[in-house]
Amino acid sequence: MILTIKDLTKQYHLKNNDITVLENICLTVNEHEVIAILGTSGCGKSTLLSIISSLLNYDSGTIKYKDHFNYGYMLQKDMLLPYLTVKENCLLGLRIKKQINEEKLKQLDDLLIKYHLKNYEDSYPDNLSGGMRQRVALIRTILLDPDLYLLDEPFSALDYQNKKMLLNDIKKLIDEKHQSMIIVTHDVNEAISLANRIIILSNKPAHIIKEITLDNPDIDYLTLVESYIKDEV
Amino acid sequence: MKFKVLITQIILVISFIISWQILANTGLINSFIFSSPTKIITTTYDLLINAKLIYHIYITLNETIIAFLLGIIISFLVSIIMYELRFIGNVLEPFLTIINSLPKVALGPMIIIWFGANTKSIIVMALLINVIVSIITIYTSFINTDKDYIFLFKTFNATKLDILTKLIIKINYPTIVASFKINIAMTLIGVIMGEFLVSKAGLGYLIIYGMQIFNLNIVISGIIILIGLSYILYYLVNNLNKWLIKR
Repeated sequence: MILTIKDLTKQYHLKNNDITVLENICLTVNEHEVIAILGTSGCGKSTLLSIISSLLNYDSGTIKYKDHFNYGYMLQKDMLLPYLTVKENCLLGLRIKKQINEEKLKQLDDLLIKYHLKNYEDSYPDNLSGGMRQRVALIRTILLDPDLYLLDEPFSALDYQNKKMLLNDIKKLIDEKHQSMIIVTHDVNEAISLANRIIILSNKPAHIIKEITLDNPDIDYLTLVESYIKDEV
Repeated sequence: MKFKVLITQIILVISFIISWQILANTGLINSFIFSSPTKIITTTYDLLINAKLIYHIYITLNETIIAFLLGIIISFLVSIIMYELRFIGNVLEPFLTIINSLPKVALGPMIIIWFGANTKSIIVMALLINVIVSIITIYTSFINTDKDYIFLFKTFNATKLDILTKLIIKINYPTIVASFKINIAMTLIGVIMGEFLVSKAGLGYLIIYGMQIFNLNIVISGIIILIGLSYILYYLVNNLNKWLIKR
């Protein structure tokens, strides 16, 4: 088990009223599992990721993590720092966590070669294409060697081909290293192609309306998932 | 295009000087009030030999450099404090806007009483003018840093110091450096204003002195030297900027 969420509720306390964003969310993430969270935009998917990464507090419920839990977060945009070279951008997370060592530098070198960025390691992000920039952001996350990848509508700025390629890369990586991932998306096809399990969230206040485990190749999951989403829209 | 513009500018300046001289020589303008290019050249030469012109330039330059450097340090530190202690930032922000819109020369008499009729008052005057604008510029850029960058840093368990030193200052570095350019112009305004009010030396003093003895040649010479000085300072700071940005 990587983490278990029980009866999680999150409210935003505004001047005149409280808005409930997440309501009674229960979710377990297991080792080597990819979970896709589907829901309409603004339903609280990103809020859930922020809470899992402890960057946002919640009002009630519990979250239990495995010992030495370590996550890697990928935002919608690559968020590369314009004043750092590709290599330094890749090392940013490690540098802040003070975890740079010989082994990590070797791993960085291998990753730069693997993602065809070796020739650009001393370039600045301005000189890279959108796809290359996202690969730098990916390497930055991979180097953290997380138990759990948290992907918030990743690569949404990229074209279909580039996006698919990167998502496949991540999927392969997770399989190799037996890591886990939660991906937040509104793209049903993407969710089905990547995930072992799909969680469908309702509109605000978001609660889980359906949890679907994708373990039967005979079921048309696309139609199934879409039927639940249609109800919500 | 660039060459054409330059040539036109040179022709413009030369024809202005020539017509000024002709108008003065023919008596169409009163050269006692409007001076003339030849009178300005002789007056400047005279100032250089008899009135320690170099010393006056040195005084103004000295005050400007001190106020400029102090201004950079103070505005940078205050911006950091306002950013890190956001409560203080929120409290101070409207006051800064109010002080910024106040013509600082109005505070002159008060400054003289508090700090005395000396160089201190001139530097305080210049600081009042350059610091406020610089703080507003730097602080605004700090608080407008893309929130997603800060979020990213937090996912790496970054401390407040990490976020300040590795993100906020670095990503806003171009704005900080650009504020030097505004700062140098503001500083010179402050120094001359201060010299008008209290000084015993400096280019501001020279101009006021020229007015008091009704010698317009000295006044205009002073102004022309001031134009040259301010251009040189701006040129130096501009190149310093370019050099700093490249690093």
